[in-house]
Amino acid sequence: MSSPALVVATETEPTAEDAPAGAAALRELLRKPRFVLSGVVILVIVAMAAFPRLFTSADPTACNLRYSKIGPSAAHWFGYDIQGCDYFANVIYGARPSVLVSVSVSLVGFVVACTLGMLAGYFPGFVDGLVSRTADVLFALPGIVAMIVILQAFSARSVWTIAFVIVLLGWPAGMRLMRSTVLSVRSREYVLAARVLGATAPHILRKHIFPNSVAPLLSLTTLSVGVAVGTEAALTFLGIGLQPPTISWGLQIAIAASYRDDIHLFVFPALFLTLTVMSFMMMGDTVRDALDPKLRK
Amino acid sequence: MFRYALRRLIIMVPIGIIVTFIVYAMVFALPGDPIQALSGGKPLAPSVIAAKRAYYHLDDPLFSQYLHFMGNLLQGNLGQTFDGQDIGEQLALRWPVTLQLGLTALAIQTVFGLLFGIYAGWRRDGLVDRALLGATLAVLAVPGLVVMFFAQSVFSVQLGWFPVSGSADGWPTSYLLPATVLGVLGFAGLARITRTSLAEVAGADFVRTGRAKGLSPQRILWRHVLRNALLPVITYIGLDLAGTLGGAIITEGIYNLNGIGQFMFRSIGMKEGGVVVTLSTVLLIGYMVVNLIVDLLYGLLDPRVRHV
Amino acid sequence: MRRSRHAAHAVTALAVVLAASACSSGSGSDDGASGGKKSVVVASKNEIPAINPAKDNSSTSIQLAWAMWAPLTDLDQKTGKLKYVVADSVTSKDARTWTIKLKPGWTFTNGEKLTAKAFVDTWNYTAYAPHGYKNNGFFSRIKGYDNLNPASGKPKKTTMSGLKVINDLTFRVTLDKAFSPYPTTLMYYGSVALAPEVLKDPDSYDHKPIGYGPYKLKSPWKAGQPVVMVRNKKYPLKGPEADQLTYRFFSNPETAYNEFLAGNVDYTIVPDTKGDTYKKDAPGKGAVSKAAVNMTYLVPPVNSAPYKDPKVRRALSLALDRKALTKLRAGSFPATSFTAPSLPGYREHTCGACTLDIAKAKQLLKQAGGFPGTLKMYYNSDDPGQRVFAEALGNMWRQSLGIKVAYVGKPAIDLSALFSKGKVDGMYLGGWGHDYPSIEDWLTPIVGSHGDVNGARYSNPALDKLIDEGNALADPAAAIKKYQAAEDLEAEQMPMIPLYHKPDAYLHAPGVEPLDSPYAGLNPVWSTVSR
Repeated sequence: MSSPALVVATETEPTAEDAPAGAAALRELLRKPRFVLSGVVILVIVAMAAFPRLFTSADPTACNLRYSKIGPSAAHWFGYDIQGCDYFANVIYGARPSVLVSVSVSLVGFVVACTLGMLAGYFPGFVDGLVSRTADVLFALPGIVAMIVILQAFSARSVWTIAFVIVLLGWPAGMRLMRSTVLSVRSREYVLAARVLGATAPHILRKHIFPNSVAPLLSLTTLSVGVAVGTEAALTFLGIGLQPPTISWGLQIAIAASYRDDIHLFVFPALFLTLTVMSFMMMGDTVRDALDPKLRK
Repeated sequence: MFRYALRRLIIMVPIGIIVTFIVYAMVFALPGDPIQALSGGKPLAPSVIAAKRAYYHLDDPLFSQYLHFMGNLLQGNLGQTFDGQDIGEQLALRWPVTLQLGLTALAIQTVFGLLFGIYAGWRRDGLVDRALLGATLAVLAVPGLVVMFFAQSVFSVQLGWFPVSGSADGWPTSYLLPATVLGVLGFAGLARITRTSLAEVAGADFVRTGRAKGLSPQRILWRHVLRNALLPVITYIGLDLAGTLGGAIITEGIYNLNGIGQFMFRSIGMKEGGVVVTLSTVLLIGYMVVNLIVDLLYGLLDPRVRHV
Repeated sequence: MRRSRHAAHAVTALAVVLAASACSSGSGSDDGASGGKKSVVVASKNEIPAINPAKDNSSTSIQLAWAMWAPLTDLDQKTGKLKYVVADSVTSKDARTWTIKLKPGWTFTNGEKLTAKAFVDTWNYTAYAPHGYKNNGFFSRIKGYDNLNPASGKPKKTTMSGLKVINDLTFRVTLDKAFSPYPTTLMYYGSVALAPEVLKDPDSYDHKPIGYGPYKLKSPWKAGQPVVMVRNKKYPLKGPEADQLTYRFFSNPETAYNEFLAGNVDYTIVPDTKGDTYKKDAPGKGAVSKAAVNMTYLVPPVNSAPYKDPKVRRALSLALDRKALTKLRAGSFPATSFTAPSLPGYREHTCGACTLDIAKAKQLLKQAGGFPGTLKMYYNSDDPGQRVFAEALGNMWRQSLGIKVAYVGKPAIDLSALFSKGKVDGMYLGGWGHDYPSIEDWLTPIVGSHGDVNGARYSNPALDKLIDEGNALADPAAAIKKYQAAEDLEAEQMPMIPLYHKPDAYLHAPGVEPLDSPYAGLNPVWSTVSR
């Protein structure tokens, strides 16, 4: 209900209104080679996750133990895995859980951390106390330890279980980061001005606080895409991650970590994983640069 | 500010009680029978199992087990693990290992992270910046697990620069490689956060104003930019310090360092509620103190953040 | 209820990681050593709470006991026949009342004499349930054991009526039932004696044990540190060659393997993941024990459909390509019978369904009405190797027989509880290694009714009867005939599905060789040191 005119767009304090909206932003992004490149890679990986059959006709579950660990050849580009299955097909099919885990963890984690961080930073006192102390409790359960305990309680673990646990224990980190930036933004002049002019809290949060404080969290989130996949691999290594017959890069790398002499077992999933993570990070970086009004020249 | 600190300290007590109880309850709720598992899958005599269960109060309800444990803990009596090891003795033995590992890693990561992060953020899009971005991407994109195994086989086994495992050679020799790996892994995140935050502040108007006023770039960087850019950085370091133990579980396992991480992992596996809660309590206190310090530093670094 | 822990899933971890450090500059032995130059370091998988084989009978504890105690009886490493070490003789007329005579001249390292009373006191102390000693079950055959281990409540007695001291060096053991392999069970180090001084307050001696073996502790052991031992001057027999023996603890076998490659360690087991490559990594250093004293097998839930039908169990067994499976386990070879090779009475190929024959498997499964539903394959999620192995098994059933397979990974602590309660509703990987060299030890515990590791609750009165008949025969050869008949019955019923044997495979540095008996496996304590 607040009038848009109240947005005090002083020259010293830019707001979201200055940022190019929708199509304009996209057009600007598309001019950046880094964005296009990472975008293409991500599209390919997502396609791989959604329609693995586009990339391979081989059945990843057709295995013969007698071919165990045979290296790459013309017929089998990536060789065979430990079970004697075609490794190329397995790496292709392995995209799905990794993409699901990393994307869902980043998205949900971002939304949760952002919302709670803004609330905690903007409403000192009860709300801040509640959110921060809950975060303290969760944080005090040392990360991977709590994951182990919680995951051991699940008898069947899927991608969603892993993602749930990573988000459950991961949001306090993002929340605190968000809260810390909100704390310093909330007392800036334009926020004060908006408040004086009678803007409602949701409006101020959305229009002033969010665009000016989201950048650090956004860059933490782009990092977390890779971290999530790495965490999944670490949990699998500890025996509490994904279980067969699920096919995932995390599982493949965890197994390859034990069979380091058969280098192809490690190289291919690690390569795909690295590529995915790098693309997400590159994209995250460019998107942030484009969205963050303060970084625009 | 003093009242703020005091209030935060007081609120630690209920949180401590809640956390210890949650941890205890979670471990209690894990499936499995630790006494049965002691025998490695082959059943112990039922009479022996009964005797051991009675000794450890395993047949009592959750609350009375928890109260019993806390009572002992407050008296400084840590008791024994299910397989008969003295918990206090184990802790005394293992804390130094984890602390040496964690602090060495933290030192490496902080020094390099800040150095590169500040430089790259200040000279954005420069050579160092680009190189750093590339390097951190690479580090972040390869799972830590893999880095650790590879570092061990290359630098210790092939090249023989470091001891392969164990803490027999003491600090720093035994800790250098694992701490460096941990430090490098942490460095990437820290450097990026520092760079982002710095770049952001460097583009702010007061910097432009400062330049216009003719202040030297050095002075602007050290006096004005850093002060404002360090908030997220300090938060990150604080969180990382608290998370050291989590990273230690895998590192200690691979490098065979008998630290807290290994003990914790084994204790969860064995449903050693007492050990897990004791360790969690120590970590909890450490974490809260770090957090408090970070929050207080906010006030010092950024006068706009007032603690009321 | 007996003895040691060649634990179910622990077979892969029999894990003596042997290590011998480059001669640790003869600081050595404060007494007894001739120069103190030869040093062997033996590293082991798990750290132990106490050096006391009665209190903690984990495989690591038993190994330390090899060094610091001596057994009553043992196997001759050349002939495989029973020989006496601390005992002078173990005799009985009816296989039920046994008279054990000790040799004179054995003393504890604190100077106390090793007497019959020390044995009787130690055994009683161990068998008394409230003490919570893990080796308690070893004495369950002795008369009066039940009085010390009542079903509930505190026991009224502290001594077993079946144990009686005759004189300084002689005592008599009366068993509940006749049991002809009894003397061979006494080679187990869980039956050694603790010093009278220790028995007054055993807990205070956890880290400074008093034994009578070839070695003794150099100084009290500190938790988290290696166990360092020097020669025991009072040991009455010819001792091993090394002057100093050290055990180091590695929680991760790959770490130990890397220590070996870096030259810091002279012996190591070959981790399963290195089965193909250790010959390249460490040329000329590999050795595989001649003895395979263990087996890994599958336990089907025999009391529930469709596993209830022996035809289904045979079909599942026939569909497995054991030769290929052994690729996943360094140094292992397929099992063709239900007991361990090298045992007296072992016969090859008693298991008709242990060779790959998919056509026959399909036919049997068809006769049995197919395999409805999903086959659950349990595995120990603490062990990455077991997950890989379980998946390999599942792939074979899925592809050869078209069975739907689900994998259930649980931590060992959970799995062992489910198993001992008989609540595993799918295929389970079991492992066993005998504690004394008799094929009886492959029958009673695994498929005898109420057997120690009979987690599937298999029960067959005909099989039990054959075992009992064998136990009552004092003549070993006649007893073996009965046990073999029991094994043949097992082959028809397939209550367990044998998979593979895995001899200790290890690497050792030049100049250090562990004792390798074809009957008992590797013994690092008695290393030959030639450098």
